[in-house]
Amino acid sequence: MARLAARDMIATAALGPRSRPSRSVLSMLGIALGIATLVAVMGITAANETRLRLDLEALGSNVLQVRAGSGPDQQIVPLPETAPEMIRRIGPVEGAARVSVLDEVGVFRTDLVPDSMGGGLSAALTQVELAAAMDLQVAEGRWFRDADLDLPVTLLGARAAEQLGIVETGQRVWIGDDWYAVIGVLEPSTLLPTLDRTALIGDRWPVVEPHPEGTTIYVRTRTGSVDAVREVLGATANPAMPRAVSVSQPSALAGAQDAVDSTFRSLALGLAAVALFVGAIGIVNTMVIAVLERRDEIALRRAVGARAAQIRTQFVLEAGLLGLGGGLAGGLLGLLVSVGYSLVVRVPPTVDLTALGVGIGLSVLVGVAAGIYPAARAARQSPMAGLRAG
Amino acid sequence: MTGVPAVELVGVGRTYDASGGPLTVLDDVDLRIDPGEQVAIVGPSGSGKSTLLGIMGTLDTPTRGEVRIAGRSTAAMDDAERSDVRARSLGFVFQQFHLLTHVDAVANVELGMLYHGYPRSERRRRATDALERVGLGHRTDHRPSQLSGGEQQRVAIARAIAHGPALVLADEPTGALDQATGESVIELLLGLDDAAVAVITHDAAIAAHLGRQVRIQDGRIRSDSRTAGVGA
Ligand SMILES: Nc1ncnc2c1ncn2[C@@H]1O[C@H](COP(=O)(O)OP(=O)(O)OP(=O)(O)O)[C@@H](O)[C@H]1O
Ligand SMILES: [Mg+2]
Repeated sequence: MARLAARDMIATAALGPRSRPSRSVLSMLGIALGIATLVAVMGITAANETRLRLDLEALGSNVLQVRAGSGPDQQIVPLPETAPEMIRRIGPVEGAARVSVLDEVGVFRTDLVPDSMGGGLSAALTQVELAAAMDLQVAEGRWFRDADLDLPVTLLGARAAEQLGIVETGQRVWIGDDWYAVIGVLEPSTLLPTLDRTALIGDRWPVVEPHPEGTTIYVRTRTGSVDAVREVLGATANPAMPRAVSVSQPSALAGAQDAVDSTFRSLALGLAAVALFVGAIGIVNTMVIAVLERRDEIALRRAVGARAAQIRTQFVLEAGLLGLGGGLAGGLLGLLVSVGYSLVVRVPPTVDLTALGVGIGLSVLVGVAAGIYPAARAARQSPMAGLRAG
Repeated sequence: MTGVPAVELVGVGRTYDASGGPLTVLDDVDLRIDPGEQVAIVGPSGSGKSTLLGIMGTLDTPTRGEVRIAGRSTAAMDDAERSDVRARSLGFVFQQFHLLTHVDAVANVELGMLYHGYPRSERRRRATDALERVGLGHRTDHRPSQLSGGEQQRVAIARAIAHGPALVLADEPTGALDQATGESVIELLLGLDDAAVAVITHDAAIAAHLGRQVRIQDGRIRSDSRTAGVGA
C-alpha cells in the first residue's frame, strides 16, 4: 500500500541533484573520468587492432605461405629443394623465397657465452629473393647478394641487432659454431614480425640441415591472382605429392598483438579504476553533506509517512543517479575520444556498445555502493527532528 | 465522548538517556482526544509539549505507557507500520513550515501524500483541492520563496489535510508569524475539517480559540479544561 511506484521513487531521488545541479555535476566528475578512460581505452585498442589488421591486409593480401605438410602416413613430407624455383615460374607469381628457421642454433655477441643462454634470438637460412617477395626494408647496410649466400655473413632483425649490441656493419656475431660478419640490419616487418629477433644467413652456407617443419616459402602474387595461384601451389611445390603441401595466407592470421598496446591498456585501466574509486569517495562526500543539509526534508518525509527503508532507498537511488550521470557523461567523452583516435589512425570509427554498457552499468553500481553509508545515516535520523528543529 | 478516540494515551512516560543520567521529560500522561475535538496544548518551554505531540504522532515511542491511534495500539508496530499510520491517519504542521524550496506549492502538498499510496493523478487532484480550501487556489505554481510566511503556512496546512487525516498535530504553527497572520492561520486550521486537531501554542489568545486547553508542566498534565469540571 505504502510502496512507491518506480516513477515516484526516481522523481524523489532526482529532486536532490536537481536542486543542486553544480554540486551534483562536480560530484560526478570522478566517475565520468573513470568511465571515459575505460571506454576510450577500449576504443583505442580496438582501433589499433583494426589498424594492424588493415596494414597486414594491405601488405599481405597477396602473400601466401607454403609449408611442408604431412603425407598419407602422417609423416611430414619435406618440400623439394627446387620448390621455390618452380613456384617462381607460375605466371602471376611476383616473387617467392624460402626461410628455414634453425632452432638449435644460437646467436651471440661472442663465442664465450654458454650454449644454454639462448637469448631468445634465432637463426634462419634464406634466399636472395626474400627481400623482394616480402617487401623487406634494410635499415643499415645492405641486403644479400647472390655471392653472399655461401659466405659466413648475416643480416640481423632490428631487435636482434639491438640485443647483440651491433652498432655498425662489419661487426661479428657468433652463430652456431662460427663467426659471421654483419652486413645489414632490417627494419621491422609487419608481415614477418619474427624476423625482428632473427639472424638471417644465406642458404648455401653449410651450417646445419634445417628441419622440414621450420621451412616456409613466402610467395607474392600479382594482385587479384591469389586464389588462382593458391590452386596450383601444391602441385607446383611438390609435383610428386601435391597433397602433402600446406598453403596458408598470413594476413588471415592477424594475431600479432603488440606488447606495448597491452601495457598501455593495463596502465590505463588501472587509472580508470583509481578514477572510479576517487569518484566513489566524491559521491560519498556529497551525499553525507546532503544528508546533513537535508535534515528538515528527511524529517518532513518521515512525518508524512516515509518509512526508514524508503528514506534509505531514496538516498541510495540518488547516489545511483549521480553515478549514472557520471557514467553517461564519461561514456560520451570516451566515445568521442575513441572516434577521434579512429579518425587519426584512419580506421572506420566503431561504437563498442558492450564497453559502453559495462561502463555505464559499473558507474551506477559505484554510485549505489557510495550511497549506502550516507543513506543509512539518513534512515537512522530520528523522526522527531522536525519537531526539534523548530 | 462516543466511539473510538482519535488518539488515546494511557500512563505515557518518556525518559531520555541523557549524559547526566536518565532525564524524564514526560511522566504518567493520560490524554484522550475524540474525533473532531480541538485541543490547545500549552505550557512553559521545555515542559514536554513537543515530546507529547511526537508520541501522539508516532514519531517517537514512549518508554512507558500505551498509545492508541483510532483504537490501535502502536506498541507492537514496527517502523513501517507506524510510518503507514502517519501517512494515512495523521497530518503535521510545523512552526518552520518545512516546505521544499525547490518545488512549487502544489508539489509540496502532493509530497504529503507521496507515501500514502494514491496514484499520481489522485495526489494532484487532492492537492489542488486542498490549496483551494486554504485559499491558495491561484498560487499553486508558486514556490515558497514567492509566498509570504502566512501563505507558506497555509500551504503546509493544505499538505497536512489533503489526504483527510483523522488527527492533525500542529507544533506552534503560528510561532513564526505575526499576531494577525497567526490568528487567521488558526482560524483556517480550525475551520477546515472534521479532523481532530491538537495545537501547541504559547499564545493564550490562540489557545482560547480552541474548545479545550491542556496545560503541561514538568512533563505532567497540570490541567485539562475538559476534565476540570468533573474534578479529576
Ligand atoms: N533527545 C533528547 N535527549 C535529552 N533530552 C531531550 C531530548 N529531546 C528533548 N529533550 C528534553 O526534553 C524536554 C522537553 O522537550 P520538548 O521539546 O518536549 O519541550 P517543549 O515543551 O516542546 O518546549 P518548547 O516550548 O521550548 O518547544 C526538554 O528539557 C528537552 O531538553
Ligand atoms: Mg516544542
